[in-house]
Amino acid sequence: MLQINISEQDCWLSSDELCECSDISSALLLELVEHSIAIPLQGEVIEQWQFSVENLHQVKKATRIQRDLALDWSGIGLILQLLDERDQLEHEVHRLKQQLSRFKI
Amino acid sequence: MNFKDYYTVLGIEPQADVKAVKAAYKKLAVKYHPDVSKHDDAEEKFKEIGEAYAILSNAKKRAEYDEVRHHHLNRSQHNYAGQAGASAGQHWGQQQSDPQSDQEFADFFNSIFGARHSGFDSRHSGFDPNQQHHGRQSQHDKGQDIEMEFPMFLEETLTDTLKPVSFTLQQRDAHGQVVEHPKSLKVNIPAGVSNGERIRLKGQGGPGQTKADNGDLYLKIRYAPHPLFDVDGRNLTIVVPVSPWEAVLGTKVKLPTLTGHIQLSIPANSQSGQRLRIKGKGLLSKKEQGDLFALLKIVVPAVADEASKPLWTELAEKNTFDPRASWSK
Repeated sequence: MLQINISEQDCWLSSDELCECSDISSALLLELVEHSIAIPLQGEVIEQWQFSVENLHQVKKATRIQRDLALDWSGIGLILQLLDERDQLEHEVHRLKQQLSRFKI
Repeated sequence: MNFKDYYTVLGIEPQADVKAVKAAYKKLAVKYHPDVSKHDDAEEKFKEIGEAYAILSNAKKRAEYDEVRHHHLNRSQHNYAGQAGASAGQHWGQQQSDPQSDQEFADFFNSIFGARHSGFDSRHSGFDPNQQHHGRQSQHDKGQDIEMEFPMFLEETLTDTLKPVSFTLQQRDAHGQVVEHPKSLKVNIPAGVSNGERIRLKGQGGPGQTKADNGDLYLKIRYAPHPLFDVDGRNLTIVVPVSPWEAVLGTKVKLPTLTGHIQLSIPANSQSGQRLRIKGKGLLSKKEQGDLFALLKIVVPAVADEASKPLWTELAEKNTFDPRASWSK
């Protein structure tokens, strides 16, 4: 059976790799970074930028929403931010409920 | 074949104009978009809405569809009359089920839905209802990306852990039939992975078309619920039951951690709900280790035994403590 070790390289994506994996142009990547939809973890210029796998997921999600709902990028940035907040709140509610259930007799 | 009434799907009248079709689509697309919606059947609904929009927003396809719909409604009414007549003792012969007529209807229906695929391709929406594939075939014929939830026990996240991964790839053969290929790997999951984190296994997704790259496999880490510990970021919380006298006098308890046990000192005069921090006994992150919090829960014996009753009574008589003192302020 094939064994795979996760290397540091697997956790980071260059700008080119992100564009290829999400099927977007580098011009669009610049726009997504401008709207904080993609946030480089390091690097000053596009050639040096490094992204996380999570960023790739966000970019894919953003492009799907843009295509299906025809919204502008600033609107999509806001949607993604609100979706993140919703997920965090749901997680928090779940955690507190679980803790409360442990506290009950 | 099940007939789908696209007007019902979009919640509009058959006379609705293109503007109304678009407005209805937008409203429902926002509600059921799989990236936004929390509805259980969002993916299926969104696909249905997309199909309906692709047909009803295109004048030519809509005219063809209206013809099919008209045919279907007439047929349904006919069948209904047949059933009613039969129940009244009349003989309606083969009108209730005519295989030839059904086949003709299916062929006619397919002739329209053949065109449907060019109008709305579910792959382009990024969602394949047949499997948990959330990727898309890129323009360059790259293989399909696959994402799967990957459960892990909290203990497993403290060290590099070799885990088996099994999934099924779906491919079309030369005849266009979907063929399933089971695939198994062993993946060395690095220590410190967090809940919800995605791990990319490059090239382990669906095979690419003619020399194109394979898709990628994404493992989305999901912590399995733990019987003792609750997770908050990198920190863990454990509820520690203590007796009233332990809370008042203080005690030492053997506290479970993810890696074994430690001795925890509970100070005198502790309160229920008080949190004690044990540094560095939480979950590992790529940079540091979180903390473990012991949350004290004072537990009174369910039934006071005969020997203890006089002691509780004496305590009640001699102690002036009023737990509801703040109410009288």
